[in-house]
Amino acid sequence: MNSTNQEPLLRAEHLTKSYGARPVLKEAYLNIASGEIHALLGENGSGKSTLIKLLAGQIAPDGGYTADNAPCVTVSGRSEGLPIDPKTAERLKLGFVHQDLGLVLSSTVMETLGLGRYRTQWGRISWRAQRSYTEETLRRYGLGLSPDAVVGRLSAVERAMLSIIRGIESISGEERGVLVLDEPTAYLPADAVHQLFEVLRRIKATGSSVVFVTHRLDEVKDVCDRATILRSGEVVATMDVASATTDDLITAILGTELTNLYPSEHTTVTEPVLRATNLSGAETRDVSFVASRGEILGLTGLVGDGFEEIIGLCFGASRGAGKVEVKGTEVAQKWLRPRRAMSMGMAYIPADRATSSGLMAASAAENLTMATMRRYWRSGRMAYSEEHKDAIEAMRRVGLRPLAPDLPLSSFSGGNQQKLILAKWLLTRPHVLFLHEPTNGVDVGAKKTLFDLINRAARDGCSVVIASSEYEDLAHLCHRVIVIKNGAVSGELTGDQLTTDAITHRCLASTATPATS
Amino acid sequence: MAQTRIGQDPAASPATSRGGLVKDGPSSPANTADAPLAEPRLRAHDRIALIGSRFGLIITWALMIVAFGVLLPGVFLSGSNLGYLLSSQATVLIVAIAVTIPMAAGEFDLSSSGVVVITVVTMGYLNVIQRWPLMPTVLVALAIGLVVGCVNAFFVVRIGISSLIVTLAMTSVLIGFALGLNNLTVTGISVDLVDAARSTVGGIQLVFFYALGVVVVAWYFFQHTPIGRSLYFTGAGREVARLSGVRVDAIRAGSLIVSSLLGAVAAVLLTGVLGSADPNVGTSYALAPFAAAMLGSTSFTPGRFNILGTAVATYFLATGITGLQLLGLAGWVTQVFYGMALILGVALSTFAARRNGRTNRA
Repeated sequence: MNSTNQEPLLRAEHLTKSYGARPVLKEAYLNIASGEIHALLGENGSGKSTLIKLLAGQIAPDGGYTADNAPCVTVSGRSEGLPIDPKTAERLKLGFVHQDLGLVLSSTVMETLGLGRYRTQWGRISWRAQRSYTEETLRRYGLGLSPDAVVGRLSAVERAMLSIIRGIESISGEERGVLVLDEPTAYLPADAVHQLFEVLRRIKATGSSVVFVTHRLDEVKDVCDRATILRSGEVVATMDVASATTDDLITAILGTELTNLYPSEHTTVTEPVLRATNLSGAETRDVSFVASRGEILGLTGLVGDGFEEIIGLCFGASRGAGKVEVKGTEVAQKWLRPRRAMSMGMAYIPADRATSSGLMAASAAENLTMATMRRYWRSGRMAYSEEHKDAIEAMRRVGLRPLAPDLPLSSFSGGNQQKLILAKWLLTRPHVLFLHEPTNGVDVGAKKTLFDLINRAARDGCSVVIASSEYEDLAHLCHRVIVIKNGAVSGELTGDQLTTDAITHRCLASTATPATS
Repeated sequence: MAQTRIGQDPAASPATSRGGLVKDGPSSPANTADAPLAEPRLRAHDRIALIGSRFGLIITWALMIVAFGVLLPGVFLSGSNLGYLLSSQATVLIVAIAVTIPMAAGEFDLSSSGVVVITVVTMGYLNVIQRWPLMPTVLVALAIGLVVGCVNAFFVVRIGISSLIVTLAMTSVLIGFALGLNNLTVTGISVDLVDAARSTVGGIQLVFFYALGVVVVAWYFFQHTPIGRSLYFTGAGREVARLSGVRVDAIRAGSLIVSSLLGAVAAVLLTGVLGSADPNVGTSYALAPFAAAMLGSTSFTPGRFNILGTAVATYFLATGITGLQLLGLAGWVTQVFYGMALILGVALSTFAARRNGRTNRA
């Protein structure tokens, strides 16, 4: 866009923030032109979230500034000092969709969209006007929901769309506004992402702008005009996306060139380790497959088609029917529990780090030895020094920083948390390792480490099964990918067929009824 | 994510790992090389805040003892008063330890005061009115605790009702039954039991040493066994614990059963201490144990329920009340003091938990 030389629609300056002794943002800034989609990029811990929270007024910037470098945000020529309150944000036409979506699960769709902007008649809420507004809005965005549907019962995708629509609606009107989206696509399937991008392009056409925080560089190439890149709390570059290659972006994010993101060595597939027979659950029926020693097997499809459920069924995390066999030991799924699965040599890392795979308040060491703590139970007490030593060893092996096993998990960045959780399960020396969206909310650097670790585990004889909708990652990492459609196996890709395009095509093409957008 | 944590001193970890002289050959140089990567050292005021939050309770307690010692010269710090203080709170201490166990696993056991009342009344009824010998009476009393615990566990774990509701209702049920059985104070409890509880060693009743035993055993389980670890994991993130092979349902059920059983143990000892069975003893056990557990969770390992914290907090609260009573304040002060301590304890523990990120969120 040639909008760089005109006055920006949004300008935020002198954004400085430290937590305790650690500076997180140093004199960062953001300039958003009118009618552009602007990516905010950086590794985990580079300060993206802090920048967004400062803009939203959720946290206050560091004090001690002078009049010359007072932190402030200017939208359409109106300047406000930070932190701003929600009313001011609304007046400035600044809308936010945060990563946690900020939805009240017990409220209805109508209440959610009406929040803070109820249509009143003589001082009381006119539910009829509210209803017709809600219905009209849902139709406009092609979301087939009832206004009375309870948010807590919507699917993850519908919730994300709802939150985004609410954000868009909050900046709609005569004046141009800026919508800030903090990793909105992390939990969205490919088709929903495209739907979202259509909406963003429509916003852009009206002269309003979007700030888009993401880890997925293909999305940046796809939809963004410009990108601001943060590294260690400082803005290191603002670049035109059209003239930059993905490698350029990666180089800017990391500060070094990243060669060979995906290790290419593939091991040969030999003896079967895992045999799943006729697995059925809430979204799947009669899924059977085999995974071999040293193999990295991908399970994919569109979100909602059931591919995500299968590994949880194999591990006994949820109840279903069918049989699971590991190294000759066969168990009926309905009797399978995580504990039993672990004793059979299975390990399972769910996608949702915060609620299912990591204890944020517990120390790194406690997290690391959670699945193996009985090893340290010797002659009537816990061998703390041994545990500490093993924890440091495990942390070093996966390249974790800081090397402080006593710090709580929450003080590590997202990528490091994921490495730590992987290390925790590798300590159990599993025969089968199940991973669900292992690179969710993980920066590029940590992603490479994770891939290396996964490859190494496979080389050491582990059979790795990854359920993911990151087609590109699967194409590079896996030896074989099974595509799940409508809860059943619809196809398998190996060898030369195994490309991002082929997987995408396979996932989208074989849909009986094409997704309406 | 980008938050400095003050959970534990990161600067201490490399030192301790170097201290252990175990085949540290290749890792030692790497260790020093990694040292600069550790979190920035804590600043002076953070250090003070850390010490303050860990040992604040003990420091406040010490100050309180000194203050009362000065205000009540020759009375407060007298041997007889201290002996009384330690002995009189021993049964409260056992119940406080009892409720700390399910709280660590994320469940509340409000029924402890109900267990104490029904057990005390049953003791009086069987031992005095029905003239049962002591041993069978005690066994029945403990069985009551066990049964109540099992019923609580069944409804909480199996049926899936909030432990707050189940145990609150259970309290009402138990106190109702107790009053139906006998609503008068019965005196004449077996001398054996009275002796076992009330004989003194160095001016302190034996019941205190039993309580001390309970504290030590509970502390050992919390601190030095996988069971203690599992309790904490279950309380801090049940789903994470379950998916890591922790038997969360067994842990939750077990914690509720042990809690009720310990409540019954406390009640048996209480009957011995009082030498009688008074159906109105419940009030002392309704709030004080929870205030102690909550307050205790703010110290030693802030944000986590811990046995040492509960034990110190029990006596911290008792010291305050005894001192105020000796200063001439009437009996009502107990209720007010415990109520306020509970609110303050919860407020402080919420704060400590937030500081340590106990709430398991992104």
